[in-house]
Amino acid sequence: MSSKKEYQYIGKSIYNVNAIAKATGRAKYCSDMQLAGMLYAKVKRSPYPHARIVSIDTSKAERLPGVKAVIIGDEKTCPARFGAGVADEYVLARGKVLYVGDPVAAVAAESEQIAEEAVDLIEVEYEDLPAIFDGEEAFKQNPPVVLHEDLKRYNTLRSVPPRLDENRPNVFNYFRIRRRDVENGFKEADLVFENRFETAMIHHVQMEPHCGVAMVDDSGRLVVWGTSSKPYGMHRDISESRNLPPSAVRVIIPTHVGGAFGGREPKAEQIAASLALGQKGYPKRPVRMWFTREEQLSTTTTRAHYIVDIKTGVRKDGTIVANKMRLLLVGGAYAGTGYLTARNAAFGPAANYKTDHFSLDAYGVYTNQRMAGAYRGFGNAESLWGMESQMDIIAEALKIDPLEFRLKNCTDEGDLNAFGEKMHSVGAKECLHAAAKLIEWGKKTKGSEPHLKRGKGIALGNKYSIVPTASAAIIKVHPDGMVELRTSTVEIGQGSSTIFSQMIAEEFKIPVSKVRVLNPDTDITPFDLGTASSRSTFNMGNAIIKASADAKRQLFELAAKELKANPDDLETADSKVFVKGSPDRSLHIKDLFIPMVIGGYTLKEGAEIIGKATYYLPGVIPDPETGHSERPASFYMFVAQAAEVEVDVQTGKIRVVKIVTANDCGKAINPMTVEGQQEGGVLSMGIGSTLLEEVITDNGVMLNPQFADYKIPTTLDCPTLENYKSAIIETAHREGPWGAKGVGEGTMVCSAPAIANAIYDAIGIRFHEIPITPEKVLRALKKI
Amino acid sequence: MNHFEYLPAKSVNDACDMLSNYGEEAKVLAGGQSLVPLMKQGLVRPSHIIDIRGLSDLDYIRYDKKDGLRIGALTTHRAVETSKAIKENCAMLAEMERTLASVAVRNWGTVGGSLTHADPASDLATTLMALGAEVTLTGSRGERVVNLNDFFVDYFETALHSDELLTAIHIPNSGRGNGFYYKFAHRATDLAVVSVAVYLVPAPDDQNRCQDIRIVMGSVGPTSLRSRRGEELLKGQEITDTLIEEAARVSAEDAQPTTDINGSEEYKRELVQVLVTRSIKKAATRASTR
Amino acid sequence: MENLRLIINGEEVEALIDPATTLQQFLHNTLGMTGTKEGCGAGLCGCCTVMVDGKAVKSCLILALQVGGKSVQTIEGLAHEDVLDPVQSAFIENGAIQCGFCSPGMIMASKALLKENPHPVENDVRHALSGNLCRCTGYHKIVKAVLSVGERQ
Repeated sequence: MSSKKEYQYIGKSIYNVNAIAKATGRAKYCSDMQLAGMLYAKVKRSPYPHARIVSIDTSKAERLPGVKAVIIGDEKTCPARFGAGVADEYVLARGKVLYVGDPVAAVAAESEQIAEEAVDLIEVEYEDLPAIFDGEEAFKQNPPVVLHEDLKRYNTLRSVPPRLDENRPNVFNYFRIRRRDVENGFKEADLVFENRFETAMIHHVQMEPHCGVAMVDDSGRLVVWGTSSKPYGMHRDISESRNLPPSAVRVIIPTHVGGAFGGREPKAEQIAASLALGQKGYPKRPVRMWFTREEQLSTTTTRAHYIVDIKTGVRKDGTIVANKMRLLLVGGAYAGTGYLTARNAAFGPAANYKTDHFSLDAYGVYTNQRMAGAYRGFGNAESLWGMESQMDIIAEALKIDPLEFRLKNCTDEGDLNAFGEKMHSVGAKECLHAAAKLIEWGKKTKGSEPHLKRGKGIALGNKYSIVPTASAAIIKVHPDGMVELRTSTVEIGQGSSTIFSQMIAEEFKIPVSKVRVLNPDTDITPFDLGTASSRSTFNMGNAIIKASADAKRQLFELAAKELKANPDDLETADSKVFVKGSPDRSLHIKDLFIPMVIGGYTLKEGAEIIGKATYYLPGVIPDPETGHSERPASFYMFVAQAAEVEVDVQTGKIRVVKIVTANDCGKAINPMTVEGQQEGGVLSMGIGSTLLEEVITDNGVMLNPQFADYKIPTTLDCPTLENYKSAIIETAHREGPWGAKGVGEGTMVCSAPAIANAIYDAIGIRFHEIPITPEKVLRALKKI
Repeated sequence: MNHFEYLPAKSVNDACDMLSNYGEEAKVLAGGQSLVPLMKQGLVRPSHIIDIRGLSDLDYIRYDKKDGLRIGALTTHRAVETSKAIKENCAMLAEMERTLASVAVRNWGTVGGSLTHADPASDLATTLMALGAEVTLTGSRGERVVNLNDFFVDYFETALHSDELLTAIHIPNSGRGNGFYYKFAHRATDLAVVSVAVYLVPAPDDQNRCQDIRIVMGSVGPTSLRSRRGEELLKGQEITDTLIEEAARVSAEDAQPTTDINGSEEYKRELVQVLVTRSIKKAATRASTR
Repeated sequence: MENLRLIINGEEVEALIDPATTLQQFLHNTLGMTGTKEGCGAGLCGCCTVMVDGKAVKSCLILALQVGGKSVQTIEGLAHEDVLDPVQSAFIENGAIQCGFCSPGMIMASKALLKENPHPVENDVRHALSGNLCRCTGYHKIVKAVLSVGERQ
């Protein structure tokens, strides 16, 4: 499938279909919802990182006027554990609290103020227990603290189960790759490098704090709205944690959600649901649980503190011979989707370079902190932070240009990666060349004062997309020619509704304005794995193509009868169906419908024109011992980024003078939305995670849970328009819709090493940890 | 926010009377950009709020060549930032305002509110101290003028009596020398990690000789701090690089930074040294080219 | 309860409110004008930005009673029926909106800038918007959008 062909809607920078609603303030988010009689929820949270709950007295709270429900973690409210991969969590803590902020009780009341007062009236007695925060300590065979004594007995996900470690009771997942013989590889190598790299815990900082609204409808059914990116995942969590059959729960995600970035574990929604159900008698009023900014930053899932150990053997000519890595995701008290992050952080290093010998052990461990793991890049920004820093260390030792070193070793079409998978659609070289050109690699610049030192750095990355994966789409053709798409992809700002509209516009040859995309609703929209793993363009795109074909088949069969033609000879455009080559033999779609006497339109048979399809890609689950798989991922997005920094060696301040990115997305369905992803990934999260952001804690308590002290980049922290450049590389994927893959996460998996490599070029200091702060610079320069 | 009784003041006297009446239970509200966050966090729970924002006669900027600059307490930061009179005669003040939070905050927050809040990281306090400013405190018992050196007592504590309002700021002789405000923050909109304001008056006959100098350090103590030892080294002397470095060194010694999430004590002292060096050089260059 | 009378988007509004109500809460919760959002409640993210007498302010830090007698403009008041304000159009055409949660505040702050400075340069735009946080866009297309309005005017 060529990505060079010109299409009418595909490849065009159509305006975002939701932009008018958002620009006018009309767009309603979950946190804007106001249902009649709605109650407001507040949470009582553990002040301890690890403690036994001795007693909870809610009597005073229950008596406060305006309080309508008070719930605690008991058998009634929280009968069962849930979890993405391992069911280790209750909606509210039962018996023990495992992190500062662990919810112990919740209140629904007439106002937020009353709910807050009620929370203060709940008396909880704790027995403080020793807590563990250090990942290596938690990883030990005899750790001082074990968080989940019954871990082995918990239910796990059948399709991609976590692998526990017999000897390490805090490990919630283990994954390994063994390709050939890495120890022999090190013997063959001329030089061996061994280093440790770490990333600090950071937060996604979605602009809309997590929110859930829940109600019990008049048939007794639980209906929950939320900010989750995985409506069916949330659906499963809500029903499983209450021992409810799935059909007893309805999940709806509003048309507009204020960002996700991988971090929307549905805790607010779960609490809202329990409060909706927890009201005595009837009516059971709707409940809104909206986390404050402080709650969001201090209690919701983060990108983990990651420890990356990498040992690399190379030949003097610059060939990478062997790579051995240990990845440790320092997780929280509950695994969440972090169980998968711990495993899938392996993909980036496995696919970046050709390596004869590759060995990797990836772990996720519990500690007494809030959940950590899923974040844009899903562990790969962290693992590649280690690998791409290492590559520059090696290049310098071998006296080879870092760009040339990468070009020599990077994977290419047809190469085998560490899984033993034959790589297809690999834009690594093109990305490297593009980034090098945009940063003017090799051209040195000087700071305007002697204390301002400049340098440039480059890095290569990739982000896989998950298998097994399934996306289903339903397409309804309305009598007026409007085509409606029903999918459970969540529009989180990435532009999914827009590109899906373009796809349907292309398939049915109608303007984008004649396409309507419904918001996810488990009563109406079919299954989708989730808006994650940069998977929606590829998977839902393919489902849309298949469902469009199904809808068109029905359309043509109906029209064929009227036009007295063969269905195979028919085409559709502009809401008309016509005979190929004879456009005068045509009808309008509405002509297929019969107006009925009471009102409305009907087809004579078949009810409606509804196309449906599932795009299912099972892939091949890696072998548990070797990691071998012919298809461990659906595709890989490659990316190269380069940065120019200026370091003030007297204050330590680092300024990103210029930063560039080249992203291989297969085919840009909408170049403007692809650019948007690149810009946000690099300028906000890339720069933020490398230089500014860190969750700072003391004994498990977050010290900086507000925007004053948790620092994300502002307009003044980003390079000027002139000094940010991007390139879209299109290496078509043979299975991708119009050759497209994805882009969202590839946008920041190598930003940190690009910046750090530039810092090294500027001042000769190699940083092994991010964020790199001005104080760390001065300390490294021995100024303090 | 707790429930409170809302009392809009009709005049300065009215406000002072109400303050006398309610004492500790009441808080004065001007722009609220410092007070409202504290109330929302429950750190401050006044039962009465005396809103003085409507007292428009406290909103003015007047410059006189002899008398200097007079600014009413309810003048917004933004008005100071954009005032032609200030940009021409006291550029340092306008430049400092540009680094303070963001435009929207400066549009509503007042200079009086900032000073009475007395955050040790206050850009305004540090700069005004370098400019030798004094403030007028008005109470039921009358008015008094206090030099800023004596106004800030401790973290978030001033010399204001419980029945007084800060009504005006006066910067005398603001046109004679020149100054520079250097703010080091992690991001442009943040509170200073360390800041330094230097105001230098050159000798009338020799632009390279310092007649008078004020060096003020912000965010490294319970209040903005004058580097008296640093100032003494330079007063009356030729401004040389060696002398500047020595002044910077003693300034760093005399600063009282504490370790917090923005930086360690050692790092902040190092920053004081760098910032004082750069600020004196900048102020001297500006002063000598006037 | 205190009486509040003011003008919102050109219309007179009167209400009895609890003094402990911020302008953002009054707009969003009392009047149901959900365009003005609470993103942090501490005046740091800019999602609550509105204009009072033509100047950008953080409505979550202002007691509603303080704007009595004043003219407030919110995001809902920018467009005239279905005709978008040039700033809104520029944001849409330049792809400056992704999740959109910061957009109302960002657009109001941009509008306020252009009122004071009809032809800003890039640095002016970045300074005016430094109090508005965005996590999705990296500000790149936002800055471009605002500059494009200045160029067209």
